[in-house]
Amino acid sequence: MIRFLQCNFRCSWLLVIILWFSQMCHAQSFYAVLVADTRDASLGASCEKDLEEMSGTLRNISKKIKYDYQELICSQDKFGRGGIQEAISKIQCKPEDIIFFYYTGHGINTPAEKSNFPILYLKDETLELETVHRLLKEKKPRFCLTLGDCCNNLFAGRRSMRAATPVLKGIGVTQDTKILHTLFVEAHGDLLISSAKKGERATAHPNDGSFYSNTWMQAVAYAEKHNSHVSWETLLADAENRLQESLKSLPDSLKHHSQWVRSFPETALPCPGTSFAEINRFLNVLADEKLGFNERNKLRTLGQKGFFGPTAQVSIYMSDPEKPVETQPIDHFLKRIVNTAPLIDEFNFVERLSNLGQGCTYDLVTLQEIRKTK
Amino acid sequence: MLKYTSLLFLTMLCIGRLHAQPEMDRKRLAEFEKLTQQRVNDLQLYISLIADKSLSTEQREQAVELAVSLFEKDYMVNGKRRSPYVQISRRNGTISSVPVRIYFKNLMHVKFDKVEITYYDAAVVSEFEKGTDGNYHATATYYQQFKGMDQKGNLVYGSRDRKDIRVTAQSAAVYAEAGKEDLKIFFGDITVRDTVPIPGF
Repeated sequence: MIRFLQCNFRCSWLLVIILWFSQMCHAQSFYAVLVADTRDASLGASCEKDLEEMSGTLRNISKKIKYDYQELICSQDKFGRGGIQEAISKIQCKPEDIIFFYYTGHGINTPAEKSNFPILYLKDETLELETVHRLLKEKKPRFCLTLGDCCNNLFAGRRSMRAATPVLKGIGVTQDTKILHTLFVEAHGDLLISSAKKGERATAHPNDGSFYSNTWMQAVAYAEKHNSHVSWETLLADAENRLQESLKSLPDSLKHHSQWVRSFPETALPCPGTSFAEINRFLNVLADEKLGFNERNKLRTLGQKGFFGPTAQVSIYMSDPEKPVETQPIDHFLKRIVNTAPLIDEFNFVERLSNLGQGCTYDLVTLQEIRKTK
Repeated sequence: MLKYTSLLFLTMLCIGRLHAQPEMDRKRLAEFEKLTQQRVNDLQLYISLIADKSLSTEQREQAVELAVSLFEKDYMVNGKRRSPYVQISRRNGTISSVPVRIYFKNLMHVKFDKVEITYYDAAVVSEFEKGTDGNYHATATYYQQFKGMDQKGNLVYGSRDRKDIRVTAQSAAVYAEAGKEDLKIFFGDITVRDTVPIPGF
């Protein structure tokens, strides 16, 4: 009897060990290759900040979608073509894995270069971002994302970083993983992103990091916290809107625009015309004092009919979307933001607490209004 | 008789409890103070827009409506209804009171070729205190500079006023169109606390 019990006890433990081991063997991996020019005299501190923030963001994402996070950092003396190739060679990719490549540093392009995406300037050597993306796709992950935050200007022998107003960051902490699941687990294919189009220079703050990286992370954080639906297209459109908001005080010659190419079809959303990115953009355009009153007033009347029901209400909150401080009829609200544009910094639309009525227009809009600091 | 008096007393007590403002925590009240600050800044901007004759009539009229919407419709004083008013300092040194809507309408047609209203020093909002009426009350203070100029831009009249706005936060439960917010902010009378001619005038 005792022997029988002992045997059962040992067998149970053996089973537990086998199950645990098999779990470890089959856990899906989230490979993050993070490349940062942390030693550069002008960009170094900014790249250091980017590295820290992106590492934290990706680690957080992989934890929430229950993927095993595997980080490969190429900075300091590992920054360069060799470091990147070594990192890529270490990726032991399985069909259900995710690969995320992130670069922050200098970039260039040339008139002879066919690609619209930048060439990574790795000090004494260069590497096309598209080449990196191709090498990563050859690993055959389920989802591959390559993001380059760097200049994409035509090589003219001058590269510099511009100091500008730092971007607000809002990394949310939430238990809801539906949005991250849609973006990272349900995605099949690849996505290539750069922070500047060909001919443009990207921007960074000396201490607070690159503008686009910040707005990209902000878009993910807000979508996770505020959205009911998301697709990569709407998320990247929102990141681009946020980038333009952060750059609006700069002259046009210093502005840049993100670009992306995806291999997978766009996710069908219930009302694509009134996506959260479209609503955010509409509201922020109405509050853009660089546009004249007449132009914004016309946009207001057109947009009001397109996005909102005639009796729609706007619920405004300060810090907690569940505890608004004011409710206004949509007509009054839109007129107010057109007239108080000089005081407004940006809006954040909370899709999950807003109600879509008939005809894909909103009956209730919940949003946060952020004022400019004096 | 005693029975009916007691019943009446109990009924009044219940009604009082139903309409009494729930006590609000300091952190939540601070959000409404921040909202009040924003609405004061809005009012300052509306006043500047209304007075600016270089802007379109449509924009100035929109600013009038938006400014008026910040104020309570009317309130009771000694059993009589009255509208909130704005005190203004006149050229002859006197101070008069004008109902809010009339004040803003008049501001559109002030008899100067050019009017410039600007603000110096940041507007300040006091902490909300609960009153005996169950509502919360605060005072917002802002500092306004008025310049009336002729066609050539020469200063005809200028003054600097310190103005106080009476602010009331009423329970949103009494309003049919209220959302989930606890309080509804309304501006009341604007009074001139201090007025001085502008430097050099």
